[in-house]
Amino acid sequence: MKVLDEALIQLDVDAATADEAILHMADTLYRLGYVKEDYAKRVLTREKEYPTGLIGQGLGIAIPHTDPECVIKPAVCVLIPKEPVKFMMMGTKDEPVMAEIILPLVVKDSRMQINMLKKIMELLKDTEKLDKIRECKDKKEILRMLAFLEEE
Amino acid sequence: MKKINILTVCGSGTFSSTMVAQKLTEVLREKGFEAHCTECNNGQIETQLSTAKYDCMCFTSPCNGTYPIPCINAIGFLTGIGEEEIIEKVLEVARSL
Repeated sequence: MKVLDEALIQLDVDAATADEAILHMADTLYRLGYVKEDYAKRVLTREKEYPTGLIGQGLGIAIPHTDPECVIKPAVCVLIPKEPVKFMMMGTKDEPVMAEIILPLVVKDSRMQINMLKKIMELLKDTEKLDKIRECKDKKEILRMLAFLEEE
Repeated sequence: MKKINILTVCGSGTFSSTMVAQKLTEVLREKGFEAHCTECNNGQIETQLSTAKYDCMCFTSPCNGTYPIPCINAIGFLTGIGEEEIIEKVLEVARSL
């Protein structure tokens, strides 16, 4: 299943807050026809209610997402902020995680994408790979590192 | 194979709850249990609990109410940290059935 797009790999993003990072990607997603108009608002609201920050082996990650109704086609995005951005930890409302890598997940139908979700779980645990992605300045190379997400 | 009914809960009821369900099914099968997982969001917990019988609940978004079944924090499945503890807690429930 196709979920990668070079336009959805954004490096050195100037985002001071989680909201700015989410809106930054949401703009591109909407412009390219991945999501409906209300996507940005829904992700922002959901993030406040149910935060998506995670800490791998010392690496802060965030996986902002929302329910599938406002999704047109699925995607896995990569946003690397210039400076770590404060998200809240999943399962809490007030434990900060400084996210160094943000992976907005645009999920259309979780059951259809179970295979991909499994691979995302593998990726979230693979701090070594996430570290490489974070340091990588070449979008094509990042696409290569994530190509396994699209394998059946 | 002995069955265990698990309610997996996350903010959207589709994303991390599905990942958790997937992982639980896999792990429990290895241990000789057949896991039946149902995914839901936080707003659906009460309804789910009143319409079906669940042996435990595994969540990635905070469950603030008090529930009659064990509630297990499963965020570790997403990060790989503390996976063994989660599995142990679920197995404890499974073995007690």
